Amino acid sequence: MKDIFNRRLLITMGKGGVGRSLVTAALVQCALKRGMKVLCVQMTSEDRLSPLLGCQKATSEVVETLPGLFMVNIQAMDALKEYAVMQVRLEFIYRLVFENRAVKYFIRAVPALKDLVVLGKILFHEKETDAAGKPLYDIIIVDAPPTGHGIFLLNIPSVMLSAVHSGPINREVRDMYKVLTDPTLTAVNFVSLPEEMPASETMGLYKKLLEEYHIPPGVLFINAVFPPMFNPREQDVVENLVAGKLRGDWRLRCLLKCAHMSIARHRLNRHYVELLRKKLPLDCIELPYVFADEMDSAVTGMLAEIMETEFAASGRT
Amino acid sequence: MAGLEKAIEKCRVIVVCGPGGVGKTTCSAAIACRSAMQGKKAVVLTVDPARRLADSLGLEELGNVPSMVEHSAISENGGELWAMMLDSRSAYDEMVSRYARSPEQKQRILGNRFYQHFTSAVGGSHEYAAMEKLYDLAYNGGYDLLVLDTPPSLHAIDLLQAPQRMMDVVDESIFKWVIKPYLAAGKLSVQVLSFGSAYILKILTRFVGGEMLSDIADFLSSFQGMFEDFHRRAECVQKLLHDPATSFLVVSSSSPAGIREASAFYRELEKAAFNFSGFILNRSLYDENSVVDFGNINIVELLRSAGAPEEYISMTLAEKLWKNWKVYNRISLKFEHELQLLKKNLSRQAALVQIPLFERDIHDIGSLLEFAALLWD
Repeated sequence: MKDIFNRRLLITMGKGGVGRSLVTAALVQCALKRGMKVLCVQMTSEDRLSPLLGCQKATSEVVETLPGLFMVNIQAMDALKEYAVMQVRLEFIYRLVFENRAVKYFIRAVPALKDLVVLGKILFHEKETDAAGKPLYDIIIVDAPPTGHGIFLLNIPSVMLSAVHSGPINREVRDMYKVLTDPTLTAVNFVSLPEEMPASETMGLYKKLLEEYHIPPGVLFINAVFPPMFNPREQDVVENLVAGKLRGDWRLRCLLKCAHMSIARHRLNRHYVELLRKKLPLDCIELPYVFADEMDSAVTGMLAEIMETEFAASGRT
Repeated sequence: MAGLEKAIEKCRVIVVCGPGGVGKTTCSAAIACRSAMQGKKAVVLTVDPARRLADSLGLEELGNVPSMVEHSAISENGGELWAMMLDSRSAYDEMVSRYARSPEQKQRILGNRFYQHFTSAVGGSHEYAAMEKLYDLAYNGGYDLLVLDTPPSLHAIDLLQAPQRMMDVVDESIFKWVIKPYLAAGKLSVQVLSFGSAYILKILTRFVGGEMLSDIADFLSSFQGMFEDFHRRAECVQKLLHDPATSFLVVSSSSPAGIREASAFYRELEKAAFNFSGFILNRSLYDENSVVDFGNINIVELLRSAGAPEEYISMTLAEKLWKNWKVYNRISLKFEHELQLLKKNLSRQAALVQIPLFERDIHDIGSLLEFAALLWD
């Protein structure tokens, strides 16, 4: 297994609802355990990571929420303002120009601009140094938006490079492109589910990121793999009993029905786990389906431990 | 609480919304499928179907025209099932073609570098393209039922405001303030402009870069004259969405968190005065018997008295059956609690359907119909 913790930038990508945030949170815990100084980045209206890490809410300002853990929730309009003020120097000029109604619409008409500054902000943090010139953070872990938007975000530098040949934006994106495509600095970790749609989407995503965008891949996490509740012989027995339309007590029928659901679920999951492993030349970590009422930092910790075992099993981390 | 069949029987347009990864596409396809089987001419507009589902609906490639799905169970009953995969890029191209005042204007827009790069990926543009196509099919398609599968969003409002947002973007005021001065002045001679416009332009140029600004200005200016049509169209789309024969369904996962997301959608739809026909809680691990307290049961005895072959019966199996059931029991109890909260705030006409976790993938018409049967019952 390749060591992803020697990179500067880890980006978690996956379809909506596959557990991106949970995987991101577990990766954050793994990095903290290694004694790293972590910057954890989200870019959503809703802070999904702080409940999973058991810490205070992330805001648009970088805040240390746990010892060694810095969190930020980058909001596009805030980042844009920050960037614009940096470019035009004075805030009152910013207000005069950028808060003009027409200009506001104009900026909305160029949504790429917003994504561009979000990406710019992340890479700005990557370059931040302390007084001694040492990088401010050992690692930056980013919870990317769901696949479609996430791809768009990561592809912005190359789109911009082809559309804008000069000016400040060109300089900025040239730099971004360099960092994003450098396998010593960046890795994209994939999150998928052992189900048809997420699996096929992950395969498409992998192809796109690697072949078209040249963004280096990290690890594939297959999340929510249903555990085998019964061994093969027990599975046969349950299936035979269910198929035999056993009469009898309603509670027994309910027990068997639940057992049948578990077995079918497990089989279906195994099929897609094997498919993903076969089709994608990636190091792969399976994470179990979590039977918890709520996802919280205890669940994250459990998954982080599983990841650690897998990382350690390779003997190289 | 009504079933889905009753809740949607008078609908001509059903908008299926909800967060990502909950099975919206499957639900949409299943509803169209079942309605077609009941003799209707139904069309489903999907956004991003799984490969095999797409194949079985005859959607090998993106396209912006519905194609008919052949299946004996449907044609026997005199119905028709049509399906289409939305491609926002070609939806825009179509829109431009429709409203362009001249072939030159059309070419100028379609050939613009900025247009080419961003129309397919612009945030919110999928939503707009979906609405646009829905409107088109509703008035020109001759369908009895249109089912719109929507792009995943955490907020219903993102979807519903899409037409309005598009209007803002092409607002006439951009012209007055940004585009006209820019085109009049060019990059170098901002002096001829009023002080305010010139200043704004100068800063923007510094910020965005002159080349890109000129591309954008050119792009927006090529829409000149089409604004009125756009406005009228957006108003019509809004009207269609508020039509009494249009209704919204919310799909969500059958988990406590899923129910909370679903209620948030519901509140937003109610607030915006859209017709709401019900919830589909998908992939339920919930079983009505699994919330019951079984008390002390002897599973080995139960197996024996049910006539299970003796070689099947063992303590280990009994323990595992119990352990497995406890998992379902725990999830079900929590779920039941959230469900009761949801029901309390729901009108009586709204449907609330729970679909058990399907053990296999749904990727052909047969399994879609099976799935739909669960929705209807």
